Amino acid sequence: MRYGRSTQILAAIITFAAGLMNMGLFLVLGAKFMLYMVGLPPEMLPYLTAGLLCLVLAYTVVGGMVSVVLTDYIQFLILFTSVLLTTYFAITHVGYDSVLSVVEHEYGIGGFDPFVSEDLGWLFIVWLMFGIPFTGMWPPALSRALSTVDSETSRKLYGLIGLSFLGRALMPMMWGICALAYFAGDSVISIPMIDGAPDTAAAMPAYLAQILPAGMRGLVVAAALAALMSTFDSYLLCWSSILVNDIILPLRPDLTDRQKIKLTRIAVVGCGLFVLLWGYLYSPPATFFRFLAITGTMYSASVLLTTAAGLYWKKANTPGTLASLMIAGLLPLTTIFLEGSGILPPEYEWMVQDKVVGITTFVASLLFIVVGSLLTQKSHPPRALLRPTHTGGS
Amino acid sequence: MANWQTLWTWIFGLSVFLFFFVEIVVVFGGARDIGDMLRSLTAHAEEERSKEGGEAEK
Repeated sequence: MRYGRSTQILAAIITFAAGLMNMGLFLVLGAKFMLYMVGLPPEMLPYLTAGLLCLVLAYTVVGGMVSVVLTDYIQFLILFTSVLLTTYFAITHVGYDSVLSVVEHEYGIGGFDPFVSEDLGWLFIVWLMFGIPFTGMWPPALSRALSTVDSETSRKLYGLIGLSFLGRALMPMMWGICALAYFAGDSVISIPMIDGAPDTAAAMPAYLAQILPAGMRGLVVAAALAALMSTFDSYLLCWSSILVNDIILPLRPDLTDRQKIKLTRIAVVGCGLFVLLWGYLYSPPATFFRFLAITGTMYSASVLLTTAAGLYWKKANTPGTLASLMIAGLLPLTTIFLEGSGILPPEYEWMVQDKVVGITTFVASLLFIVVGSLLTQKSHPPRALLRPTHTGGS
Repeated sequence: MANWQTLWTWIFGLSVFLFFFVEIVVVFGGARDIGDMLRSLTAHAEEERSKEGGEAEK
């Protein structure tokens, strides 16, 4: 209503691209976790990745809603229980004091104080703070909230998710820190290597495979599979729905429901294949968490900022929004494709650092929508948010 | 440094507690909701069957 069709399509393209890249590494990292937990040889990774993708695609394309509800509930039980138990085993094996002393030894004060950390620092914290208001509006989370029966259920859903989110993030991070403490000490096994360098993505599953009791290891593998599948099905459905409803449908409004369902299924398979290729061809320059943050910025600084402006700023118009979407959709690509690639001279590398680009993207996106809208008020008067209602001459 | 270590320890402990709390709420609430859903589906299926039976008798 507020912006034109071009805005809808451009916003959908950015959301689709950012979302696919964001989930692009899930599959290969999930497969690597399973590989080391089960104890398969590294040569099996491509087969395991392809097998997992086939499993998820079959589940997502064919599965019905009742089966999804029942399996999600059982997956939840296995997942939450195994996360709590794994945390217990991971910490008690190396000892909490040992964890603290290894982090202190490896990173100094910067291991605990993010403000003085050489790698993180003020810029990184400010960048994350910009993104906080938008975390609850990430499309897969939003699609779950929008599918609830009423606003009260939606409110409950967000309340519960919010309470558990901190633990969901911190506990696996703690497993990684425990793995660091394990491999830094006198470990029974050595850290897995890839191309002659330590494979840091494999350190945590290799550690857990080594220390967890036999039954517990099976439970964690089941939980990892459950987490992978439930995340993947909602992500694949979300991005393929955006592709069909917000990019294809505005261009081909004459599609029948049957054709839409068929297209969505084809899109699910296409997205899955893209994720498979992306996971192999792209190596993130920093950590996986930071890759998620920069692809998240691509979405939140563009689509969410313009949505917020459309709702709360009367002067927001189509040209300002398009300019904002373009800049916020393109800037993060410099980090994704240029950081650590060796293309830029070393003295200019700082310009494509994720934290610098992240903050610049938010600021530039805001500036472009404000300046762009103010400069084009006469040629493109802003549309009203609500259409006037006809009350029969009253 | 000790203050930062204490802060992170408390945050971690709190996150584990909240995670456990949510698990308990969802386990019991989810079981009740799934029970309701299955009862409603069974009732709907029986209703459909009785409708079909009535039409067949006619």
